[in-house]
Amino acid sequence: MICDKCHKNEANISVKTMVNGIAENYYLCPECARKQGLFQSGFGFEKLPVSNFLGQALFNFPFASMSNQPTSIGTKSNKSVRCPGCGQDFADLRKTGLFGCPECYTTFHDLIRSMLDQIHGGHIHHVTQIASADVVIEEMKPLTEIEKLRSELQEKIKLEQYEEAALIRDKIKDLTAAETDETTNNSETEGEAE
Amino acid sequence: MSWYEEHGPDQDVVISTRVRFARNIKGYKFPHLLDREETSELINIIVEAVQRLDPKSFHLVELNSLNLTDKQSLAERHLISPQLINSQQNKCLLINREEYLSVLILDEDHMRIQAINAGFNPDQAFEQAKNLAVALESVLEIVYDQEFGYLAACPTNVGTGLRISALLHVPGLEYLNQLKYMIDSLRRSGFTVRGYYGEGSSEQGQMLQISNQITLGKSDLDLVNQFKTILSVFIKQEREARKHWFEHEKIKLQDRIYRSKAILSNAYLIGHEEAFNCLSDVRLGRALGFVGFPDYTDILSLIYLIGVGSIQKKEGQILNSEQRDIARAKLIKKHFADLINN
Ligand SMILES: [Zn+2]
Ligand SMILES: [Zn+2]
Repeated sequence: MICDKCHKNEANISVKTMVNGIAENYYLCPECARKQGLFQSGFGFEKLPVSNFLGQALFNFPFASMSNQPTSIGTKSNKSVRCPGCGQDFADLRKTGLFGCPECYTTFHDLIRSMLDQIHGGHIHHVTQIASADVVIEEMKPLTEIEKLRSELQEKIKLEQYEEAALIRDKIKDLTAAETDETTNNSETEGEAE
Repeated sequence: MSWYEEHGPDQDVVISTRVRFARNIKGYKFPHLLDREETSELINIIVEAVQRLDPKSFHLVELNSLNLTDKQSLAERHLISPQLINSQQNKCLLINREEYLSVLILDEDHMRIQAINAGFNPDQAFEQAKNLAVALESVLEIVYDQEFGYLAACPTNVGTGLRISALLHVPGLEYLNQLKYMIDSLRRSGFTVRGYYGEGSSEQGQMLQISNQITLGKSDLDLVNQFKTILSVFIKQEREARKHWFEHEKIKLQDRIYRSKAILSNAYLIGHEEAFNCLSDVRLGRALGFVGFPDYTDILSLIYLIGVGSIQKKEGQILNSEQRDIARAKLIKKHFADLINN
């Protein structure tokens, strides 16, 4: 039998396909089969054993896209915070895509948290393209006030509305502080009861 | 003896494995914001610390004091990144005698602690780099945060600071048109895939560098194990592809490999790309057990020698493109004559 593709070589591979419900059957020589990435049996590729979403999350990582678009957002804002360790503000960080000093991690803590959450899947509500069942269960849990604010914060960062982002970040800070106070108070009362 | 003159596991597919840790020192800004004074202060601190740990085996290379050729040669051996060749900032490299352990000072982070091994050897490379990182932590104040782990200048390195990569030889998957598919699934799984000469380089001679992208949210050991799992699938598939190729198009395959060997043994003029691709074919011949082919270690030494920077370093002068092609052909021919006669 002659190859259906090049009409030259002897075919020794039979290919069956199903496209839109229509079955097709044709014959290829080894060379044409190779060029199409087809093989005889016994040469199947395994799926790589890792989920996609970590990689996806990283590509959607807002910091990366920020560093690609050096605009002046943030510079006119008097709300923009400067890191006491290195004097950089968020606009500076965007320009280089790099933190200025280790203290930046404290100064821009909440912004960084939301960025890093995306990388390692801490806040899965905003990572698209997840198909696993246990993730759906996650999403059905009601959000806490802080979680709601965090997701809002990420939205604002995505939309590059940094002034609003800063306001939300401050709210989160206050709430987190209040929470810690509460827990400390609680543990104190418990301590007294004992 | 340099690391690339040694044998390693799975060498038929994997050329080398690298592990590096990003580490920064307390009390200093990240390198791109340091002034001249802080720069030299920090270099002194790090050099002194490394030499205190192991005074004999490390030597210091100041990248600023090197000429272009020397820097190219370091990049061709993967000791510095190609971007560093044109950098004007003061950066240093501490490197041990066998060249398998190094500390790159004041690149993107204060320190990049790197170990490189022949073949597929993530465990050993990890252990070597980690040991040096841990030792340095005992003599230097390293920035570490309870929440984020090891802090780094770039958020993509935060956490473990670990980057593990392997350089793979994949002519089989290339030939069977499976490379695109494999690269896509690696990228979707959170791995970076690059050509032999790093960022933006084409996939020359079917050699690929694969590395992890995620550094946070998993322990460094988990990252290494995940890398091992993924790479072992890739290695197996490359072997399958070669077997398929050999079984189905044996004569053509032999013809291609022996032609490449003939070119390397006989040419009077050879450009870098042609030499690289022929060496890739010859490496495949070695892997398939063809008689009279040089060993992996000799092929890798040659790959290192034929680079644009390395060839000029070897000749001790700046050469134009034709002079380089002549020198390269001569060098390869001589090596081949020696290797095959032995
Ligand atoms: Zn055909
Ligand atoms: Zn800072």
